[in-house]
Amino acid sequence: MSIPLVHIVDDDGAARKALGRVLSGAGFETRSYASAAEFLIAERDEGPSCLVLDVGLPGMSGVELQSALATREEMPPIVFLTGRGDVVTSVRAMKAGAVDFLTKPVRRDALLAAVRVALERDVEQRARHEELRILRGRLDRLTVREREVFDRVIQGKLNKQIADELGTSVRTVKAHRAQVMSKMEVRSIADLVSAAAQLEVGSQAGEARHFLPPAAEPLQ
Amino acid sequence: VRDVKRTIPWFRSAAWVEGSGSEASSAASTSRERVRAALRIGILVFCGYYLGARLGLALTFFPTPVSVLWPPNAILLGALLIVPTSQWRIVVAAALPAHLLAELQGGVPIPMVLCWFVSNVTEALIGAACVRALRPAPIHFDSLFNVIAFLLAASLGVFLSCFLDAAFVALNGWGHSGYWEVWRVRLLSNVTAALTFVPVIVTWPRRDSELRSAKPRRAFEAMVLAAALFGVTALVFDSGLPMSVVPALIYLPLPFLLWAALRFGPAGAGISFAIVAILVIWGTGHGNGPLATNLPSENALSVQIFLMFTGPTLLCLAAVLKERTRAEQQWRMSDRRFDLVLEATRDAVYERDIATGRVWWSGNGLAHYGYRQDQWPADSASFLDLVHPQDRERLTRARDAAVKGKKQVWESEFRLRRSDGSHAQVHEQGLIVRDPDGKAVQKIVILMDVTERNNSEALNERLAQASRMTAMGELTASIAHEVNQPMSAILSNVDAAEMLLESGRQTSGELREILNDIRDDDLRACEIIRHIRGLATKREIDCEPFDVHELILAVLRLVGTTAKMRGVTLTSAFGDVPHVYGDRIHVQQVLLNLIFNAMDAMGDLPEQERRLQVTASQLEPERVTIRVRDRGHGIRPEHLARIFDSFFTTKKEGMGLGLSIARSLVEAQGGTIRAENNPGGGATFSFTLPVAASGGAESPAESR
Repeated sequence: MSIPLVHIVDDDGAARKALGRVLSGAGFETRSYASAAEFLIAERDEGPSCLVLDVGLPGMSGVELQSALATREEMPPIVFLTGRGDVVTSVRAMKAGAVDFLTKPVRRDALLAAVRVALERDVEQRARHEELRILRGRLDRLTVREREVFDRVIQGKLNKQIADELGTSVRTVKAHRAQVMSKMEVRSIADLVSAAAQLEVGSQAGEARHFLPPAAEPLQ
Repeated sequence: VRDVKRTIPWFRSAAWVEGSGSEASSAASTSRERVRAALRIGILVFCGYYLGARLGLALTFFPTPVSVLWPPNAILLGALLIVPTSQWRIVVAAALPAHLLAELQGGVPIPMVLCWFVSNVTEALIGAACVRALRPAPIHFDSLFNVIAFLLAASLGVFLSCFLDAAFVALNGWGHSGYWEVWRVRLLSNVTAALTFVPVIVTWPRRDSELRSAKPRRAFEAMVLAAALFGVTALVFDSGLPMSVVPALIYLPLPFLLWAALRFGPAGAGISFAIVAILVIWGTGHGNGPLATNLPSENALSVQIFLMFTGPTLLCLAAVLKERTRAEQQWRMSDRRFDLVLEATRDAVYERDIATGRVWWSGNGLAHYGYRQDQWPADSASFLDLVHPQDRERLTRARDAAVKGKKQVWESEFRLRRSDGSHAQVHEQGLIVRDPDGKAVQKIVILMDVTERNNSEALNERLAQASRMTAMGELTASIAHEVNQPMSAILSNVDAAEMLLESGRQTSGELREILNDIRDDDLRACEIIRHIRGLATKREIDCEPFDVHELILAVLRLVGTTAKMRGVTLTSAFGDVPHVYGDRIHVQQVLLNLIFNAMDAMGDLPEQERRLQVTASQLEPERVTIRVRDRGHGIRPEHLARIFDSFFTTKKEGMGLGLSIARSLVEAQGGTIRAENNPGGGATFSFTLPVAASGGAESPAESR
């Protein structure tokens, strides 16, 4: 496993440098950026990473960068740093998924703890993403008719009902169903429902859909 | 003033009479006025001449055909002197019928009568023309020059006309006297008449005269004087008492004549003298009084000589007194004006004699400080008692230095005890009067109460500070951020150093680098705090040359966070500008004030339009102009003129002091501040600062 990477975004050069020293002293690889834009155009690596982000950046602020990243489906865990305890901003940042909201000057222990949490979360997140990517790939292999059967199976419908709805025979449904199970690489209906839940398809519980719109490309 | 008043109506009536174009607003009324004025002159001259002739005939003593006193000629001369030159023909025309009427009653042949008229008119015209040549304005007997001019002109007229008159008498074969006798008798008679009657006519109290508006007491005095003069003169010259023959008694009317001249001026002198003259002639003509000693003709000569020397003397005396009074009045008026000015300014002025130390106060003296007049110090030692003990030595030293040195003026400031025991701040300005050898003889000192002025200066400084504190309140976020930034870097650096040490690696190079960074950050924090402390502390103006760029950048950094919170984009642009001379903190305050105003003005615009630009440029050789330009709604034209006034505000919770303080701060540094609307919307506030003298350290004195 590669060395965890911490991105530092702060407009103040001295702060950037000092934070970098602390983090590299703790064994992390660091990269520094003077503005949100600089971070956005920079190249990303595959390995585990997190973001230490100053709220009060000139131009695009830290919170604005956070939502910009979200629309790009990039979700590096963010540790926010701020010069003043602005409750409104911190609540908004935390609601949008920030790991922590630290007030400057920040103590080493607090910073390192937050960064570690962030990196752990990134590892988890990446694993979950990977799993999803695989599932999504499997789902994409289904034909249109198989997808129709899939949607109805996970809703708990019986073969007879499905055959009626689709205007076909129970035998044909059974064949499709076996095909779905095989393509999705599951052994039981319970596993299939669980995969569907992860993919957030076929059910009514789709409120977090925007994180993974169906048409979007998988995360690189 | 009174003199001017008296001449004005005269001039005005003269203007009417002459019908000058400027006054001819209504031609009809002007010509009617003119006729009325001419008629008035004519009637007066006719009556005067006729009565004068009757009086003259009454005073003619046989066998000489010439009167002791022949008033008609004098009346003619008097009339010519008091009317404008253009009216002379009316006077002459009116005199002719009166002359004929009077003379023909005496059975004189018509040719002789006409000849006398010619000689009489000639006499009056010569006299009047000479006076007019010397004094173009209507003559008053209120100056010695005027009186002497009159005496010489009148005498010359008589003198010349007498040759003519004597020739006429000889030609007409009238009487039995020879040419020179007629000449001599007429000369004396007419000079006496001119001296007696012309002053009465010329000085007769006219419109607006002091005697016309006299108070009852003065009128009473005039009546007492007239009665006494009449009584005494009649007693001495016309009583027929044996004692009245004593020659020395002719001096008895003198005190009363002097009284008249002294108290009633030329008019009083003229009238009194006329009374005396008539009584003396009358009495002597009837063989009474100290002058009636010989033949009537010899008596007439005595009378004439007596009158010819008394009259002019009296007139001259009255004129000199008048001149003196006038000068005194003028002096008193200027003195009064001086006192009024002092009263208005509440300044106290005193003179001090250096040799004796005596002090004289002018105007209100120390009344302003609560002292009654009898409490005003009369010498410099007791004055010094009123000075605050701590200021005494300094004041004395300043004064002594001024007296001993070659200086003419000095200035000093000290505390003066008021009567209630409190102290007033007093500014003293003194002038030293020196004798020709340069020795100081006198000091003139003005004391000005500057307590209020000083208080208002202190108030202004407090207001300026309050406004700086307000600016700081608005800057809190910026300040916290600016100070916090280096502090957090320092903490992280310390943490990093600690970690390096814990790692046990060879780290001295890295540690040194970290320590350097910590020092830099610490200095950065201190610099920011220094800026802020400047704003927060009460201070006096402290000018020095400095770099405007640096200052503007520092201010922009300071307001950066605040601007970001308010969604305002700040930009700056600099031309190539030299150092300026001013007070950094005050300039910073002015700039902050203008920037906050601009941000307020853009509060309700969409965020992308909230743009603010600060620029510095050198538009004039001696000044640098700093502009703060916003894209807000601009200033309403009717507000532009008042925008820098105290307590003028367009903001809901504004006090209206920010810009007025900004202006006083800029002006205190020798600059100007102005506001204008941009052609494309929004407003620009600009202020100037003087360019620092080349070399930087020296300052232009006037910018303090």
